Formats: sequence, structure tokens, C-alpha cells
Amino acid sequence: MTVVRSALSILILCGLVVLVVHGNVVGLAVAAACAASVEVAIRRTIHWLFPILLFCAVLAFLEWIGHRTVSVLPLKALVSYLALAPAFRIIPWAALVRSVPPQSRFFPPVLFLLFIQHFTFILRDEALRSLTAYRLAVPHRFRRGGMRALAYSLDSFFRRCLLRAERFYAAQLLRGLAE
Amino acid sequence: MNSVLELENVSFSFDGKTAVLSDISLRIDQGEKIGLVGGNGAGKSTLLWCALGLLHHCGTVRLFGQKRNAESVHRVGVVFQNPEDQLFMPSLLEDLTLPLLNRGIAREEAVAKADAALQQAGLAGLSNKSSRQLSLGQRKRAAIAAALVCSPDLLILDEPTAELDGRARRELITLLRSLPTTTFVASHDLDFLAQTVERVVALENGKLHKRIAMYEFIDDFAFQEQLHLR
Repeated sequence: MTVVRSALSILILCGLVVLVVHGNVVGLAVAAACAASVEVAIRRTIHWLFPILLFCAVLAFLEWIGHRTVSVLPLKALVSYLALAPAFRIIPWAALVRSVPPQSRFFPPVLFLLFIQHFTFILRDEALRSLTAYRLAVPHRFRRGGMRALAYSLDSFFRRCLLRAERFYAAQLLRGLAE
Repeated sequence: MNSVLELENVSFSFDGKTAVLSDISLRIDQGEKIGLVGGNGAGKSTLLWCALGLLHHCGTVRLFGQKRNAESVHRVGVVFQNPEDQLFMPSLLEDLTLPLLNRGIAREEAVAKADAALQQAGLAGLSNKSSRQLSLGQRKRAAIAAALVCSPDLLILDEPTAELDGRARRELITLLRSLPTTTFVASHDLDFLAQTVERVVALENGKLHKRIAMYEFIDDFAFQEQLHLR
């Protein structure tokens, strides 16, 4: 089972790399729809899509402000996020860690993946925390102050993620794992 | 007595203008249990981060008698205020064995040490759980177990009782009292410090007061008031 899960996750990750490097708009859109369907089927909710959609929308908006045109970058970001979610779900983390000894040259990539996984959890936790706080503070999003509160909520989200990432890095540095 | 941690004229500022720490000098000898007290924003965590080399500061820090380097830092066990940022592996056992395996210790020995540390922290039955599945109190104890597993010569704890309930706090006190390790604890929980440390150094507006015995400090209400602890 571990082998099948590893192979499947590698397949998804390789497919993602090919898609991001060579994919056109249609291919990316189809991939995003498929990956989103899988995640929605597993989670049975769609509210988790809001932060990434917001992120892609802000990215597209900034591109439009800068160049008066929007590239496929926001779509690529969306596909990367949506495809990484099932891939990370499939990767047999515990078995992977146990099977690769720290002295092995394959250990740094495994550790790197674990770090990425942890950062993903940090992003998820903080996004949920910010959204919950925002919803509690602003019952009517489109009335006065709603959008301003959203901007500050996003600001605090990025600040907290950065702070937690710093603390995480410091902890691993002290344990001798981040050198 | 051998010096374990020595700070000489350590100063630090985040923006280059306002001094968060100014001219801090401190020495902790082997076997001592020292508390670092101060109100919110006094600079306790910043001082710990400077001592560990996580922030660029002025002044000198010596660990175990030598200038701080990667080797000496690895002899220090650290527990941050937010334990969720310290543990990240799929299970507690993996989290605890990782630094040992990384240092070249055989897996059997690493697992035995990790089991002993988990037992010491009262988490023996939870070795296969991920830190994300634990309560905050359990996570805090898991972070302490992760610090203890490498048999540190100095244990540094930043606000160890923050967000702990009564029982978790009591268990933590018992655990810390049972350890022979040199301990440096930053906290504003005076009751906790009274039960775990022998002396305290007080930090106020980035300046360090001279160290005093805990039993003297606990009765000095005026000083506690001055430090915003009462």
C-alpha cells in the first residue's frame, strides 16, 4: 500500500510539474476543476477554497495593475495548490520517514517535504483563524468597514504566518535540523 | 563552578533606535535553576533568543565556557512559548528520535531514549500520535520531552505555564523539579517559579536587576509591583 501511495503521489507531483511548465489555459483549468472536485468530494465543504481563490484574485489584480494584462500565473498557483492537497494527503508520511534514515542522501528531500507539509498546516491554521476572527468581528461584510477589516485580516494572516515560520525555523535550527 | 551560560554587555534593538535590551550581563553556573521575571514586553523572550543566537545583538554570549557555536547550541534544550511550532513529524516518537538519528545514534538506542523522555514527560501512551492530535498541555510536555531527549546540559523554557490548566501546570512543576539539568526559565508566573527555581533575575525596560533568591523575591511585593507582576 505504501508503494502504491508513494507512486501515486509522485505521479501527481510529476504531472503537476509538467502542467505548470507546459500547460495551456484549458489544460490548467481542467486540472484545477478535477483537483477541486476530488478535494470537495473528500472534504464535503467548499469554504476552504476561499483563501486560495482570494489569493489568486489578488495576484491577478496586481498583475492587471502592473501590466494591464493577466497571465496564467494565478491559474498555475490555483492548480498547484489544488493538486498538492491530494498529493500531500496520499504521501505515506510516517512510512516515508521510517524508511529513510537521516544519514541517507534521500533524507534532506524527505525533511524538506515534511517542512513544506508543516508550513501548509501553518497556512491552513492561520487562514482559518483569520477568517473566523473576521467573521466574528464583521457580521455584515459589505457594509461600512467590511472590506477594510478584510484587508487588515489578510495583513494579520501574513504577519502571523511569517512569525510562526520564523519560530518554526528557529526551533529546527536549535535542534540541528535546519543547517 | 563551571559557567553554562554567560552574557556580557548584551544589547539589542529591533529598529536600531529603541533598545529592547541594554547592557545585559548574566552568568548561570552548572546545576543552577534560575528564573527570568518581568512583565509583558519586558524583553524576556528577546533575551532568550539573543542568548541562543537567533537574533543579531551586540555583546558576547558564551555557552559552556566557549563562544557560542553550533556545537554548544546543540547542548541546549529549548522549549518555546508556542510548542506547536517545534514538533512537525507524523508521530511524537519520530519527532523525538529525529535529532538523535540525525546525530548518528542507532535507531534502537534513539527509540529507547525517546520512550524514556516520553515516560518522563508523562506521555508514554501517546508516542504514535501526531503533535497536532494532542491538547495544548500535552503538546507543551511533548516539546519538553523533545528538548530532554538529547540530554541537554542547559534547559531553557520560555513561558512554560502559558495556556496550561491547573493539572498540566502541576505535572510540569513535578517534572521540572525532578530534573537535575541546569534550567533557565522565563516566566511571570511567580507561583510556578517559586516551586521550580532557586534564584531569579528581573528584567525591567530592557535592563537586568541583580539576581536575588526566590524566597526573598516572593515576599518583596513592592519590587513585584515595580515589575508589573502584581
